[in-house]
Formats: sequence, structure tokens, C-alpha cells
Amino acid sequence: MRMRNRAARRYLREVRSWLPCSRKLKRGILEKIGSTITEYLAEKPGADYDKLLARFGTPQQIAASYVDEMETGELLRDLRIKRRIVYCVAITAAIIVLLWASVVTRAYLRHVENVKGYYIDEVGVIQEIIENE
Amino acid sequence: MAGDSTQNSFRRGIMSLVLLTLLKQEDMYGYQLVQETARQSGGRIITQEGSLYPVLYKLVDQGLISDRRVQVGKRMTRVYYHLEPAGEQRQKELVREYEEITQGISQIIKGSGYHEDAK
Repeated sequence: MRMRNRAARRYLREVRSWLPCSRKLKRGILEKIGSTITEYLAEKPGADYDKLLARFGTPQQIAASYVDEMETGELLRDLRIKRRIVYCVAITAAIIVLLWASVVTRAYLRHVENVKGYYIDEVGVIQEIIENE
Repeated sequence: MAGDSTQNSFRRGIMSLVLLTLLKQEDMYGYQLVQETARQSGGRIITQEGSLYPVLYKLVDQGLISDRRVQVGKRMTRVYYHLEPAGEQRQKELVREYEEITQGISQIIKGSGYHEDAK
């Protein structure tokens, strides 16, 4: 469903960002809210974002009412899944940082070795030139 | 619940009971449910229309209520909600649970002498 009104699009976008549920549920809830907003705008076409807030409530209130109606078991399961996702992401990020750090350290050590070799060679060449003279 | 505060301690789960009870009286649309909630609760339960939709969506998804579009003007349609038999059954269960819990809490409050202290 495509909203023509800019305020309505902004409102629905913010509700979508606050709702703590699956994409399918969000779509269903937003369809209901969107359809009611369309009816409201048919009566009041000039309604701005503040008027939508006054009539329908803030996106946070809508999200809170969703959470209030969740079964406790469902809520706990959701929180547990989210905690596991955060944990996995943190572990993956730590592994990536360690790998990157080891690659950078190796590259630096290799660079230092190469520079030392070149320096010694140069001194060796200069020494040879001096002796030959 | 006045002011529809997101911090209210006692609002968990009660909107399902409120909406099922109102729809038991007659089919209603969203804004009408908001108005009737405020009116029939004597102004104690104030909510905004947007907050109803997550609850209504869940009740429709569970088959407790159904929705239908009704033409109300030349170009306007409205969605009316209707209580299904499963919804009526669930409403009775919720009323029973609610009465048990509030009775239990009242007994605890009375037993602790709160009312006498308050006087």
C-alpha cells in the first residue's frame, strides 16, 4: 500500500522502526494502521505529522502496546534469541579484529625485515666502493 | 491507564480483555473502540487508536475476531471488527482470570490493613 501523504509515510516509517516483531507481523500491523490513516486523511486531507501523533499516538506507544500484549513465554524467547544474536555478532567482530591485527602485524614485521636487508646491502656496496678506491 | 502512559504497571494484557468485551456488545471500528473504552471506563482507560492495532491484529490472527470493510460514504470505507465464537469463549476465560486475580489482590490489600491505615 503506497501512502501519498508525506507525514503519513514518515509516521509509518517510524512505527516500523519501533515495532519489535518479525517482518510479517510488522507488515500486518502497518497495513491496519495504514488503512485507518487513509480513512482519516480522506476526512482531513491536510493533516500533518503532529495531527497524526495526536490521533494515533506516538510510534513508541504503539510498540509498547504490542509488547504489553505479548505472552510472557514469547517475550522471553524473543529476548533470548536477541541475546544470542548479539553474542554471536560480538564474537565474530572480535575474531575479525584479531585476524586483521595479525595480518597488519605480519605485514609490518615483513616490511621491517626487508628494510633491514636493503640497508645492510647498501652499506656493503658503499664499503666495497671505498675499498676499491 | 489515564494518559496511555507507556510506564503503567498494570496494563499488561488487559487491552485484549477490554476489546473482546466491547466487541461482545456490538461490532465496532477502531476509533469507536477508543471512544467506547474511555466512555465505559469512566475516563479511567484512555488509549489512542494506533495502540489498538497491534492488539486487534493479534486477535484477528488468533481467530478470536474478524474484520470486514464497510462502505460509509461515497469514497470512504471503514473496517469493522466482529467477535467470533472463539473470541467469546476467550473473553469468558479472561474475565474469570481477571476476577480471580483482582479478588486475590484485594484480599491481600485488605489483610494488610491498608484501608484502615489510609483512613
